[in-house]
Amino acid sequence: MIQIENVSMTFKAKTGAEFKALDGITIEIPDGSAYGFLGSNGAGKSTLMRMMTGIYPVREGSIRIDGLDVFDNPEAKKNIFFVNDETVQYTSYTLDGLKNYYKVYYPDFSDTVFERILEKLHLPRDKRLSEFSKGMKRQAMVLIGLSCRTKYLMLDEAFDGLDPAMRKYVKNIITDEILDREATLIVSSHNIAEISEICDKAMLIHKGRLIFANDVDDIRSGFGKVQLVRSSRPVTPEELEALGLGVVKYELVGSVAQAVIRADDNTLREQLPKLGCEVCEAIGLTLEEIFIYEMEARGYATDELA
Amino acid sequence: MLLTNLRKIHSLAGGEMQRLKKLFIINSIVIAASLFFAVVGVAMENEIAVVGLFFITLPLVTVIPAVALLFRDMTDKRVCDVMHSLPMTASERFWSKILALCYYHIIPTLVVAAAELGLMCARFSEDLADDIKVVWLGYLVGVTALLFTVAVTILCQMCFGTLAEVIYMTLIALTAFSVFPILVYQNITYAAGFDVMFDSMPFFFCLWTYTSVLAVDDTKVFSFIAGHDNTFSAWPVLIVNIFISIGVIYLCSRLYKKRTAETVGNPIAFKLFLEVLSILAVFVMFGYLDQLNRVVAIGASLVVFMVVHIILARGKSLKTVFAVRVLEYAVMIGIILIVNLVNYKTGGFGLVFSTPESSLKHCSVEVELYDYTESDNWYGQRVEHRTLYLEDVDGEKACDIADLLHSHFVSNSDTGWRRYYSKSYANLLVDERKSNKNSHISSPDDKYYWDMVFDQTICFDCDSDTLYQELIDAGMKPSGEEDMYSDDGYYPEEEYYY
Repeated sequence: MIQIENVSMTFKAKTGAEFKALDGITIEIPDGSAYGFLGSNGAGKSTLMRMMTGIYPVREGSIRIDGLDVFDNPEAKKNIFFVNDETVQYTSYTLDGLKNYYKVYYPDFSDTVFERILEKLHLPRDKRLSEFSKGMKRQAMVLIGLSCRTKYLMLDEAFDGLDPAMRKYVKNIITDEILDREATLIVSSHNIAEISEICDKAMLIHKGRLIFANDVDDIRSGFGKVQLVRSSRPVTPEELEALGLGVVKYELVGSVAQAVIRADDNTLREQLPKLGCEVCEAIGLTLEEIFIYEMEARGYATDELA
Repeated sequence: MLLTNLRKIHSLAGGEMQRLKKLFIINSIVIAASLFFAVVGVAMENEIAVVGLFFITLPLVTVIPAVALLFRDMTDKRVCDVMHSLPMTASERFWSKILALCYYHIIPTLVVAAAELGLMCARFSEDLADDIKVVWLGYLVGVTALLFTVAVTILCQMCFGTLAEVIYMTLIALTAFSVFPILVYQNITYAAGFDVMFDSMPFFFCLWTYTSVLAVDDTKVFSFIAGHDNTFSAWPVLIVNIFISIGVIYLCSRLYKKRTAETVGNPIAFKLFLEVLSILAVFVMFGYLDQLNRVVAIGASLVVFMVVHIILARGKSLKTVFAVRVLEYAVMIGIILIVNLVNYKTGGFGLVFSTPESSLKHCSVEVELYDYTESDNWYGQRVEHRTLYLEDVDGEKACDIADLLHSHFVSNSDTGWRRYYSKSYANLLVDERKSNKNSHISSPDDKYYWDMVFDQTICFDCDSDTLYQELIDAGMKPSGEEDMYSDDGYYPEEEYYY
């Protein structure tokens, strides 16, 4: 289990000013889960991942992997493999060279797994990675990550650069390998549909703060989009708030009030009839829609284009 | 536990060597070429062997990019992400890099260099004879220089967070650390009226710097260790130099642990080192150019100082940087000028009153008196020159003569470089008689040689005739030849004093 408790991170910019990249993040990643990290650009996902892999020290709060502090601790780090969003650092290696390099650091590296996955991916083993395309480099790193057979595999934008067919193929390979040995997968991606497809848990952070962290199903069921029509007067957001329904977004189109509400199905079924609407429809939201609406509510990417 | 850790570091070093396989191959080719030329040169008994020696010095230069690439995780965020997420401690990471450097760079270079020198000494033993000790001393100088380069490069790698800064700051640091002691020694020596003899630099000027090379010939403080054979007395300085380099590398391991990934990509990781280096570099540049022209020295060193700090201050307000750094520079130059003034006024912080070693057994003392008379319109400046000497005296007598001259020392000079601006000065020269240990002694005259051990210019304020008489009364004898000459070498008169 990975326990992240009240973690904050402050950086000093080149100008000398300080900025808080993470502010009081608390989440728990249970064993055997597939956990998605969602967030706007610059939200702090990669920073959090770097703290979880021991790249950045934890100065406020704590990050524990199976009860061990991770920073400067090989015992904790040997259980975690991090594939970051860059691939340029391995360009001088061939696949075999990369294999030999990582075997030095991860004693559980499996040649069998390496050969099995390599056969599926059809990557050339005698070419340098500098000759690979971006997508092929990503595949190579996923291959290495799975072959190291660590308990936790962290992928930061790992599917970026893969074509749709290969994305699906690689996702299947990952889930097969991970599920087989009940390892834990942590994925950061801007492709929300992908996250909801692979992951059973997810968290959303924005400007370093945690917005929500829960099972994906619970997150989806915790939001709803409603359309309300009342002949006497349109339903207002204040009325909805008064019923205990958190309004994320509200729009009035003629006499039709459309609102995205933070509430589960049961609550909606109980509370909405009290409004006395002639038409009352509630539909579920995708994770992507939840992400967009939450971000819009926080003023992210909402400015009118000139 | 220690053995387990060492085994782990050894295996991690293998990972580093894999990462930098190309550098290893290049270094191996250079070393192999060096060995080839050395062997061929020795076999054919010609100068091709020297080409081999040239090649083996190349790793002294290539070690800088080698260290920069080994510690790339300190300057490249992407490499940092990979390396710092791997399951090892910062300490294991650091020492595995050092071990990799030893395996593929330092050890092969030193072993092959030793093998080549051994081969040459064995083959040319008759021609080299007594110089064989100098050859191995030269080898130790090479070891010292290599470890000094490695230590300074790693230190800069720890203190700066971008590759460009690491490279040019390393070059600045290597120059500043090496030239700074020379300039300090030169300034004090000049102010004390001595000729600058780099092969007589006190040991603490050579402790951790390339200038230990200059100590090869003579280090007075340690001369007692090997009797009066000064060739050997450089060994302790060089050994201390090596230990200091190793100590600095150990210090860097602590800095590496302290330094975190957040500073990667920032030009400056540890400000204190930058400030120390700035002071040294300004002193070196100013001190060197001041010998040509003070205005040029201030202007050039200010420009370089500002350019470097503007480059380092990425993203910061240029106005603020400019104002702060100009003020900082003004304070530094002010301190340097004040210290230099004190140096000149006190005659090298009192060193102007130095005397020859009283423990000298056999020495000769010579005093040359110079007295500038008024300028002559036709012949330019005229100088009266008289010489007195004492043969085969001990150090105590030499000290007495020195004390006599110092008692007339001009203490209130208001200019530097006294020998050029004072109207009267004396050159005190003391030579020590030493046994010739060269095995090729063809005549009894070659049994001894004279080594100058003291050479000081003392400016005096009394009448030169008075001083001349006092020296005669002290037992000195006139050399029998006196002259007067003008600056352009024209001798209008010659007078003989008996």
